[in-house]
This record gives sequence, C-alpha cells and structure tokens, in this order.
Amino acid sequence: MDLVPVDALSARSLVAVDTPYGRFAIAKVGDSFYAFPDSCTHASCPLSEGHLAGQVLTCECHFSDFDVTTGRVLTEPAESDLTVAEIQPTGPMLTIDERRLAEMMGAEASPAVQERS
Amino acid sequence: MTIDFKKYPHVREAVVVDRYRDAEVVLVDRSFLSGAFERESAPFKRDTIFEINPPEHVERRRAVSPLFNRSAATKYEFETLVPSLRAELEALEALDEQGERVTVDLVRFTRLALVAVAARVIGLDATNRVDRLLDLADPIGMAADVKWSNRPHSEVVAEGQQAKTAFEDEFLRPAIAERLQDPGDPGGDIVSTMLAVMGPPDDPAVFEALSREAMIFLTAGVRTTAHVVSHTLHDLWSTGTTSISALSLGQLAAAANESLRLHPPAPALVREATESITLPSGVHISGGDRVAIDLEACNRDPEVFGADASAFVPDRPLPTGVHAYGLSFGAGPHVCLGKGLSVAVSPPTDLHDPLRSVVRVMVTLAALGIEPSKTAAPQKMDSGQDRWETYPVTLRRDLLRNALTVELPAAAHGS
Repeated sequence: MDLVPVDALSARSLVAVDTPYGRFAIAKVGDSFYAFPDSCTHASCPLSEGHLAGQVLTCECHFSDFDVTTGRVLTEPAESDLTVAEIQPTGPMLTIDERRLAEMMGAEASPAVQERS
Repeated sequence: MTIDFKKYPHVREAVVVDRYRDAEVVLVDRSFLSGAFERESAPFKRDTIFEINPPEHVERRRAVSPLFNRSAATKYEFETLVPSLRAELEALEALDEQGERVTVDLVRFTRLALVAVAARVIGLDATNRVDRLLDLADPIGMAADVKWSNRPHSEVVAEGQQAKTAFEDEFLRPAIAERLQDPGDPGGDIVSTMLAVMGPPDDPAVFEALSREAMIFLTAGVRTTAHVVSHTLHDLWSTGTTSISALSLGQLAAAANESLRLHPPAPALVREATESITLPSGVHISGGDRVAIDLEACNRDPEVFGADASAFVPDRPLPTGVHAYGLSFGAGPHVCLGKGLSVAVSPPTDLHDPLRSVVRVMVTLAALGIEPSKTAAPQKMDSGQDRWETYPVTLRRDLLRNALTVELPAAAHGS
C-alpha cells in the first residue's frame, strides 16, 4: 500500500498520513523510514507534531521521548512503547504491507487484501 | 448515571459529543481550548494548570511533571500512602467498640489516606492534621466543581471560601514561609515549584494564583481515588463478587479500570472551538462553539467497547490505543497529571511492586475482609457528578489486628 511520496520527507523528517486504518506518522532517520500510529501512548497527542532529533521523537504534549527505530519509550510520562514498522521506498513512494498496517492498529486488513493472501 | 446537560448553565448551549472517536479529536486537537466557562469557581481554580492553554500550559506542565513521574509515584505510595493506611488501621484498632466487624465509611477512609499523599505532593505539613486538611479539602473541592452541584451554588461557594481561608492560614502560608526561609529542593513539591515559576508571593495576586494551584492539586488527588475505589467495590459486589480478597491484583486493577470507564469522575470535559472542524462521525463544529464531551456516553460507545459497553466486564477486549478506563483521565494536552499515581499501565502481580493508589487501597481493604455494611446504605452526592458521598463498609476486627502486625511491602522504592 502506498503511504506517501519519498519526496515528502526530504524537507521534513516527520509527516502524518491518513490511511483506511487510521492516521500514521512517518519518520525519516538517516536513509531509513519508520511508520507508527500517530498517537502518543500516553495521552494520544499527535506524534507527527512532535520534534525529531536523530532517532529520538519527543511528543510536544508532555515531552515523552520515543526511539522511533524501535518504538521504545525513553522518557516518561509515556509508559507503553510504540508499535513501529520500518518501511521501504518502492519507486517514488514509501509503501507498507497493508496487513502489517492493519495489524499495527489492531484491525483486520480489508477483505480484498485478505483474499489476495 | 445519565445527566441532563440542560440543567447545567455552562453546558446548556454546548454541542454535546457522545462518540468516543469524536471526543478523542476534540481532546487532542489544539484548536479546542480548555477553560472554566463559568465564573463561580474562579476563586478556586481560575488560571490553574487545569484551565490554561498553550503556551503557558506547556511551561507549567513541564515544571510540575517531575512530581508525577513513575519514580515520584512509587515514593508517594511506599513512603506516604502505605504509612497513611497503616495509621488509619491503627486508629480503627484503637476504637473502643465491640463486635466482630468494624464499620468504616469507605469514601472518607480512602480520602484520608490520599490527603496525606496530596499534602506531600503540594508540600504541606499535615502531620497529625490529615483529618483537618480533609475537612477543608472537601468543601474546597465542592466549590471548585460547583458548576455540577445540585445544591444552591451560593451556599457551596460560601462554604468553599471559608475552607479556603482556613486552608491558606493553617497549611499554605506556613509552607510558603518555610520554603522562603529554606528553599530545599526547588522542584520537590508544588509550592516550591510554583514559587520558582511565579516568584515570591508578595503580590496578593501571586499568592492567590499559588493558592488556587495548591487547592486544585489537593482536591483532585483526594477525590479521584476515593471515587474509583468506591465505584469499583460497588460494581464488584453488584455483579456477584462476594470475596474481594479472592481476586488477584490483576483482577482488581482490571475491575478498577472498568469501573472508571463506566463512572468517569467528571460528567463532561468542556472545550471551546477556535475554528471549524468536522468530527469523524460527521458532526460539524463551528469556530466559537462550546463543546461538552459526555464522558459516560463516550466511554460506553458500542463501536469502541462492544455491544455490552454499558456492562461491567473487566476483561473486555479493547481496540489498539484505547485505554481500559476510556477517556476518564481525558486525553491530549490536558490529560490528568495524576493518572500515573492512581492506576498502573501494566497489571500488577506482586504486592511488593508499586500498585498505585487505587489498587493499593483496595488490596489493603480486601485483606481485612471488606464487605458492604448490612445496616447502612451508601449515599450518592447531590451533584451531576456520579460520586458516592458515603459508602459504609465493614472490616473484620481480628484481621485488622493481624494487618497491623504484618510488614507491609516496602520494596521497589526510589526506582
């Protein structure tokens, strides 16, 4: 499933993208890309509005720090880790397996995707 | 407990949001502002951290957040809450009464234990004065939430004003004087943190601001845990659980989260929209609209919690990213600061671990064979808030004696 053009992460290292399974944030760390639900595990604030320094993402609401490459909480108040998937460019687009995307949101992939598998 | 929002002036004209996913957007989206939306509670909570908005809110939240992290919560639990519970049990043991069981008001018992914690968080010396502090905290809390009261508001505010004056004279001014003489740890409690943020309270307006901030932490900290403990035990008893002590720590924690979902401490969270937005359900909000999030309705949204959303089912499955307690602690920038003091993220498994206040109080009472009183009925508060005013319970006197001799857990602090 296409998420966002690779170019969208050239000027910014953090973007939000809406999918049928909910809103995701995508972070660029070096040449790698990571997708995770755009919702802090502490108070649901949008992580795409946070501050990314290297691989450390700080939520702007209450300053929880996460390692976006692993999802691990580095600094409270968040206590639960993020679910993170490393994603790859396919041509000009960043893509992700739709089943993985659905799984990250605790949803089932659409029937069409299930049928193909 | 469904309430009629039309009865309450501050939300009479509000757009009522009753869907969980809509409420999440309102709470998280920064175009919605927090505030009092009424004037009556101003002497008790105006411009406190509960009401202000970014950028001031971000800075104040940053200043006080170390007081509410995991390490602090663990210290409060083991160094203050557990000894406070022990002191209450000792007082019960000392009562000159006969009979196999001793009767206690669960609400006051829990509030008393928690007022000691609140005093520590704020930086007040309540040694041997927790009863007095609680007697002041209650009318202050009622006045701060006067917008939901069904009693004559002028009466509630007058009682709150009287308690506020006494609170300031007996507790707050001495704490401030002590800090000004010896600052100690500048971020160690609310008083010293606010003195660092606001400067010395020579100006009466600064003192008033500091007082309101202290009062809001006093009342919030005391009332929420008592609210959850009494509702949880009531829900367990009402659904056929007779022996609370037969439940595991994990089951107690799950029951507490479920009760908190079904009975949010506030009927509604109110926000004002600064721009137009269409919520996920299609509800349109215009800039300038006042929005009341009906927490009980949102927390019972079948689309999120299932067809049995209104039933007490502690082990119900939850969608990813949805907390078992729903939106009872709010979400977004104004999420409850003290939620980490009340409930644990992971189900506790060992009595020696930090259990947080709700489970710690319940497991302490469970070990004493807690049962609802057979002779006195619980009473609800006369308010739009779904709260128990009193909840008489009984404890086994013989176990009370044992409980005092058993070493309460003291491991794991200072983590």
